[in-house]
Amino acid sequence: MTTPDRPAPIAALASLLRLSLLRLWRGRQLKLALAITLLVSAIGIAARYATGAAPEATEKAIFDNGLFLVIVYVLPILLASGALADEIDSRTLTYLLVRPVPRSVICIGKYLAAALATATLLVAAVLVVHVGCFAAHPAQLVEHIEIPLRAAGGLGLVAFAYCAIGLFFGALVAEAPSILTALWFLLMEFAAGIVPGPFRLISLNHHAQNVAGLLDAESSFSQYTPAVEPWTSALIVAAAAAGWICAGALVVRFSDFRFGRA
Amino acid sequence: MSADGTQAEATVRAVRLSKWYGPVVGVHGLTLELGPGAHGLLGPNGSGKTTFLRMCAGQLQPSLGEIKVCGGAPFANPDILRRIGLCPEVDAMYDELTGLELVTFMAELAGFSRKDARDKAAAELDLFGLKDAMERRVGGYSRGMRQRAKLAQAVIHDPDVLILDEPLTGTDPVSRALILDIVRKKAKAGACVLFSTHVLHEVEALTESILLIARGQLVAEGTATEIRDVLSEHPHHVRVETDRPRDLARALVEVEGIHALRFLGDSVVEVETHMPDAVYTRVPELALSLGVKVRSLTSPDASLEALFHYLVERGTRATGTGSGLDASSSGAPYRPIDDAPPPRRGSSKTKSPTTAPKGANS
Repeated sequence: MTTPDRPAPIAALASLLRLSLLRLWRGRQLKLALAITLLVSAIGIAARYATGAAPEATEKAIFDNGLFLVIVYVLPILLASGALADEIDSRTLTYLLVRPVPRSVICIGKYLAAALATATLLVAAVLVVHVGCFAAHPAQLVEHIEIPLRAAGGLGLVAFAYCAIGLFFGALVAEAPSILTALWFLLMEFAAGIVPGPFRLISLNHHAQNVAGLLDAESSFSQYTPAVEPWTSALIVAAAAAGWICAGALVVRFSDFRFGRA
Repeated sequence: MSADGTQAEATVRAVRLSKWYGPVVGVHGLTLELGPGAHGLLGPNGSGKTTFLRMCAGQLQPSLGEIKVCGGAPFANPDILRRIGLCPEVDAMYDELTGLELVTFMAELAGFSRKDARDKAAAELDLFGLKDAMERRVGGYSRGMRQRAKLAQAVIHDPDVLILDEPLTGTDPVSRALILDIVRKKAKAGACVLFSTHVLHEVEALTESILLIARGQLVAEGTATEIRDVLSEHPHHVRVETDRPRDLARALVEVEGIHALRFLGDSVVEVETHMPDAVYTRVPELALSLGVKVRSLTSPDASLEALFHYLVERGTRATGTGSGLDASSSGAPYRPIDDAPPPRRGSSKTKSPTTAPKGANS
């Protein structure tokens, strides 16, 4: 027998990442996610030219209402919540679980693929919106680059956290990961992000908007919400992402995934 | 690795292994030890074969008892999993990938470098007759090709313990011969091959070591010949649908080997016999001579399912516990399983006996 030694965790992670990205690239979810992202971006840009609004204001509005309020929730539901759940449901996860790779590495590999795809789409959308809004004034493209850069940072960061949440619910309840993730986003992210007072600090979306510099100090009840430094918000989002992915890895480590049932 | 640092032998050992899902029992009190060689796990659908194999492959945790593969518990244990190859029952695969990509990724995850994995995957797919199809996506493969690709990913790292869950389901004769040949070679090379099916002749084609499992319990184990003896001992039922069942029954009473006759409704007579061939021959002759019209001649128990029911029920009658078999009282040609340390199967030194210790039960 010439059975090889078990792979190093980094090598296994790299293989899993490539496998998951290849499957995403050839699958339907990524195409759907791309279409939705482009559609929302295109609608915003079209509105800017239809109304003749100022590019800076339009850009901020698209980031705020299109990307932070819609796309950043939709993409993790599409790309992350099914990353494990679909494999559990179709039982293809069997092929990975029988490999000599720690289950936490399998979980992190799938998570990284979904999070990278989501963050890439969001950052691409930010760039498309920026170029689209300033297409008529190319000289201002670089001049006004700070807002899109901060928005890309905030969106990219929160994408990693949201994908970890989606993956956790996918591992925990493979039958309904999208519904559970959507409910969590609705209650703990969207609703908590608009209630007055310190409750807004629960919402990672609030922190991501803080990182992006998009929090409106004039908005209703915002005076009751404690101010937080952007870098503190960034740390909070990063810590939340790590916490959620650890929780997901724990579920994967100990779960049977209903594999024994017919 | 064993405690002294040496690599443990290719073995599967289960001690009072149980697995249940809420109120449903998947496997109940299974005790066995298997060594190198091929072992056929035979049982009807829902008997617990897949649950047992999944526990062997480290996919499921036992609810009670223990399972050890190559000396260690396999669940989420990479050191043991590197020595296991699994060809699962489910047809699902990564349909977006080509055959070569699929097997290459599985080889990488088994521990091969990227280049070695690709070379090894190509060679393995060639061996399984998929050379021309390896660049095509798995989603477009036929059932037989998918089975072969599944088997290729299972053996790519040359595992010590190879677990095959119904690998011949849906395969064409060519694929079947190819799969059996490769599995036989792996077993000869010293691997412990566990092979499940619900078709007896599939196991016979591969191994003499057969384990019968039903309702989550090991009801018998033995060679193919011993299992065949059990089959021939199994009372056979033949149902004859006719316009004059009582006249036909009166004539059938004289036929050799008939133990009982029973009327089912107004037009069916059921015959219980140990000589079904004689019944199948005599019924048409008697029908002709009596002028009786025979509408159908069927057997309700031509399947293995009936054999398992028979074995379990006979065990119940013999022990009076409802849970065991007793060869000493029933004179069975098969060896019932007990809770005592099991004999090693697949090893020529420790051939299993054909009678059980007194009081043994499954």
